Order: sequence, then structure tokens, then C-alpha cells
Amino acid sequence: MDESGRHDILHAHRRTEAQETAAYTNESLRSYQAKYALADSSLLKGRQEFPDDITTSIHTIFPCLVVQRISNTLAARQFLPKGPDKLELIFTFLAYEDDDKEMCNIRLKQANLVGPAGFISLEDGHAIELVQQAIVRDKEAASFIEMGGTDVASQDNLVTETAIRGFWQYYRRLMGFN
Amino acid sequence: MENRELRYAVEELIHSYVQCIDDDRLEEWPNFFTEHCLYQIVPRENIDLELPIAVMYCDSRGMLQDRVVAHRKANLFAPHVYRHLVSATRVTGQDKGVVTARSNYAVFRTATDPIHYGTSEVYSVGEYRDKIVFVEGEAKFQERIVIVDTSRIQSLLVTPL
Repeated sequence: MDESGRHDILHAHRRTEAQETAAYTNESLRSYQAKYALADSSLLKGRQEFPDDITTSIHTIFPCLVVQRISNTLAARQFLPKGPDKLELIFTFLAYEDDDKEMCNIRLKQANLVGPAGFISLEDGHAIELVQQAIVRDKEAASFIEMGGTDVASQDNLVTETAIRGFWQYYRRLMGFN
Repeated sequence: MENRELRYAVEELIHSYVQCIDDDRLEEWPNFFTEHCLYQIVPRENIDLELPIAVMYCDSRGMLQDRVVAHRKANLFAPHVYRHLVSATRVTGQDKGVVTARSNYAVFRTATDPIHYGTSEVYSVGEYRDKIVFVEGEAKFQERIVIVDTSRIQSLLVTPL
């Protein structure tokens, strides 16, 4: 996270399956359930393309841009506010001109993970609606998201909303709302 | 197969498919496809610009089944039902046992959560471009490309079109 809390980078590193399972189980996350397996696991077949162990890297650039790499998907997300109760999100997926056919296919298939029908991200749209429904009726009241503490600072795990707190803290300062 | 018989088989497949989804029998949905198949939902803009990226991309019946399991067990979304209207179905070609067809569709989405219950909206309009084969006498989609005019997808897309 930068000093003012407006931009941040979220990154995750490759772990073995055992480490992954242990981490999820220890944190008792709803998202981990051992009884499910993919009927076609080719969805998750990727290929290392950069000399590091980073599997996910998501850059949030204040105020309206997100640039992401999730496995082999490369994409930009633009957030377009359309009013106090409406927002548009534009996904642009990218590839390299010299990608071979295999890499093109990997990127096309892994695009299932993100976007409006993404296995990972489709419920983001629903989450935003739930938050909106909850805050509109309270009019003048204020709220904040407490997951992962109350401060704005870099953290070593993703069970946190520090980045959202950072965004709004900076926004309030910028707009003179403090 | 005679033309009239073929047309009937094609229309029957296309209509059974949409009724399956509208009836929320999603577990049966992968059976409309051959085992090695292609199901894609692609914005019309990408077709026009010859850009390959899809909103949803499944190239096996297994991937379709995974979509159904995620829908039922994993994904969180506002509950809803679909109503498909399909029209202008035409068989556009036939080559080496593969029948090509196209249709227009409109999908209305009706909310079934307590707050918005019974509210309908035009959720998606577009076109189906199909490649259909006969497996043991039964018509199946070898390929179904859903070209969506409605590239502004309301909130999310979890139920197949």
C-alpha cells in the first residue's frame, strides 16, 4: 500500500496443495470445502510465464483502475461511477501478440475465473448490491468495514479490508470531508 | 434425414434446452451437449472485432457440470428465474453430419428474493449460433455460441443463457 492508502498491490504466492489446505483450514474459511472437485480440471492448468512464484497480483490504482494478473489471465478493470447508486465495471482482457496457441487457450479458459461470470469474481457484483441495500436506508449514518482491524496499512494476509478503508480515507481527505 | 424432420429435431433441441433452464433443471443442462463440446457466451462487440474472449467458456461437458455445481453449491447471488423467448430459428447449413442453425433469443430475469420478488427485467438479448450433431439418433449441441447484444450484464451472470 502506498503511504496515503490510495493505491495498493495485492499479491499471492504459489504454495503446495498441503500448505494451501492447511492455511484455509486453520482460518476456518467458508471458501474451503474438501468434498468438491472439478469434473474437468483443465480450467486450472496454467503455465508459468514470469520468473517468480506469484500466482495473483492485483494492482488498485486510485481512483478507478485495477490491473490484475490471476494465474495466466491479464486484465484491466475500469470502475465507472454512474451516480450514487449505479456503477459500471468494464473488463478488458489482454494477451501478448507472440503468445503461442497453448497460452492463448490457457488465457481463454482461465478467463472463466474472472469477469461477470467468473467463478471467483461473479459474486463481487452481488456483494456490492448487498452493501448498497444496507447503507441507503441509513441516510446520514456512517459505517466502516472492520475486517482485519481498523487501521490502514499493509498486511501479510488477505483476510482484511484495509485496502477499502485506505481508499475511503484518502477519498474523504481529497474531497475535504474530514 | 428429410428437411422437415431435421428442422423439427433442431427446433425440438433448441426449445427443450431453454425449457430446461427456465424450469431450473440445470443438472440436465450439460446433457444437451456432446462430451467434447464448445459453449461460449461472447459479447457481440468481440465477434465484430474478431476478439476471442468470452464471458463464459466451456469446452467439455465436464466444464458445464462444474458450472452447475458452482451455481448450486458455491456461488452467492440474488435468487432469480429466467424466461427465454426464442425465435427466427433457421437451419443454415449441413455438412458431414454437422447441422448449423441460428436463432434469436431474449431472456427475462425475474427476482425471487423477498425484497424484489416478482420483478422482471430484460436481462439479455442476442443470438444462438449452433452446430448440432446426432448421437445415437439424438440431437446434441457440438457447439453453441451465445452472442450477447447485452454486453452490459446486470450485476453478474451465473445461470447459463
